[in-house]
Amino acid sequence: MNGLDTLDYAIVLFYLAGMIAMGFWLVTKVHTFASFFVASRAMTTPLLICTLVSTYYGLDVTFGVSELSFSEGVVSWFVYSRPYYLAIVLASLLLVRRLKSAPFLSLPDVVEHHYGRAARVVAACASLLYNLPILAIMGMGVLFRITLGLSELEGYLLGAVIAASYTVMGGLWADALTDTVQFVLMCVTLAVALPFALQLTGNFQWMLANMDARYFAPAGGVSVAYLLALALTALSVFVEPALYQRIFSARDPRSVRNALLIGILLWAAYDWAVTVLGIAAAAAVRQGLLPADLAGREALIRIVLISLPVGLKGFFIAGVLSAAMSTVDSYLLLSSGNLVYDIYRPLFRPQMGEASLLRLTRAGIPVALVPCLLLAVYFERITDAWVFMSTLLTATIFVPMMAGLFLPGRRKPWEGIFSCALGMGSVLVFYLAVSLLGRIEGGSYVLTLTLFDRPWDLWREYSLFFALPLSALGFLLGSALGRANGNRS
Amino acid sequence: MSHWEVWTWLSVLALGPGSLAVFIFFLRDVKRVLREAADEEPEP
Repeated sequence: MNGLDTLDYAIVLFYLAGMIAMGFWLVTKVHTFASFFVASRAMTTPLLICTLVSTYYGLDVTFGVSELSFSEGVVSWFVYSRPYYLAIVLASLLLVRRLKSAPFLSLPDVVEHHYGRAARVVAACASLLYNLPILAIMGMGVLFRITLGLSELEGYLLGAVIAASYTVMGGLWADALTDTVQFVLMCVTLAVALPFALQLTGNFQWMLANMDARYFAPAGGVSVAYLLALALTALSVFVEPALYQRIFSARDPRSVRNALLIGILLWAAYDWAVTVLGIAAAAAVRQGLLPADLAGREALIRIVLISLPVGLKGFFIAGVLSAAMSTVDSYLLLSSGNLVYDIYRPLFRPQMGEASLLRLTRAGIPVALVPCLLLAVYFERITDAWVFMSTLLTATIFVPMMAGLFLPGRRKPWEGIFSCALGMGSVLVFYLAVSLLGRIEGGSYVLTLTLFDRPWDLWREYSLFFALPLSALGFLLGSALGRANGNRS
Repeated sequence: MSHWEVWTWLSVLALGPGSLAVFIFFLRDVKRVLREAADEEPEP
């Protein structure tokens, strides 16, 4: 039983209808690709805070962080989340001004600017795989199964179709304006749910006295290498397509820098709230309030549903839906941009007109839904998919992008191609090898190799340790090849 | 009150009143932003 009342359902329906109405209102106001994709580059600080916070934090964070804190405790905030804040501070101070120095529309635009068209296409493929909003769709499946009794596949379809419909109509304007409402809903409902859940489970006094000490150990029981591997995924901030799109859509560099710095406070608060709710769910299991076989990905939603009174539950569901839909709409738009603007147009129709570009990008949004739904059923844990996608994006684009933005002199196309290809290839080979040859342990895969008469455990999450140096090596190889070609010519 | 509780209440303040304050600032300049964007938009 989900304990929802008619009032709760009415609130959720009202919210969903409002989102679709926003799309209809905007459909007649968007006529150009720049307006559709980067909101006419007119976004100010408050709008950027709303869209950045709500887009970047979807159900991957909401359910992923609470899933981890449910089993491991506060380590999920200290290890998963804090490296991201540092990365965001650095990105706001170092990247913004450089990225606003030219009229780019997408991350692959920047790659092409430095390395040419071939590197653009490789970067666009990695970006596309990252942008497919698989995690948020997985989260919506969980949410609709628990609240409406739908199957997870039906939940995936229902949430994704609603988010896609208003994004097709209004593009980034619809996305950003709905994000403002979604931002308030997701933050306020979490702020309201947290005290209720703590009161139900006896607050921190009960948890500190009765739960395993590792729940409140900042480093948990996780090895240093594993911690470092997770922290390295924060490098994805430097090549995050949604962040780049918001930077391009900002009115000026100052607006987006301020939005990022204020956003960090809200992200930190949000992460902490879902971390505590995950621990509260673990406490509720020990107290017999929740079933002993509760799955980690359901921890947050279950603890809140037994804590909140009627009416507030509906608002909370709308808040969680907001977290999911604000991510799904943004990343569907980016995926479609990758397909049409970054891959199809430069390869097959370089002379494509504005009207065709806009029409095809709209059509690409439902097309991007298909691989999302297929991949959503592949991964068992939300955190698994999260780590894989961040790793793939970072391994492919981080080295060439940072070299393009910060190294002096002109870059050579082979540097970008080799660096992207080696980074992406090494992650795929590593994941495949560990998954096929390794064993399942602790919900992940691990391959044990014996070197120098000593066993070495290679966890699937360690791939960046190999992929980033290989991507850098690819960059150096490309540089040498470019120099040799230059000397010959 | 433990430091865990202090940090939890600070988070509640940031998420509740903090997000509402940002939304109020957004409402203050939304008309201007949309008007400026519409001015730059060519007629279809």
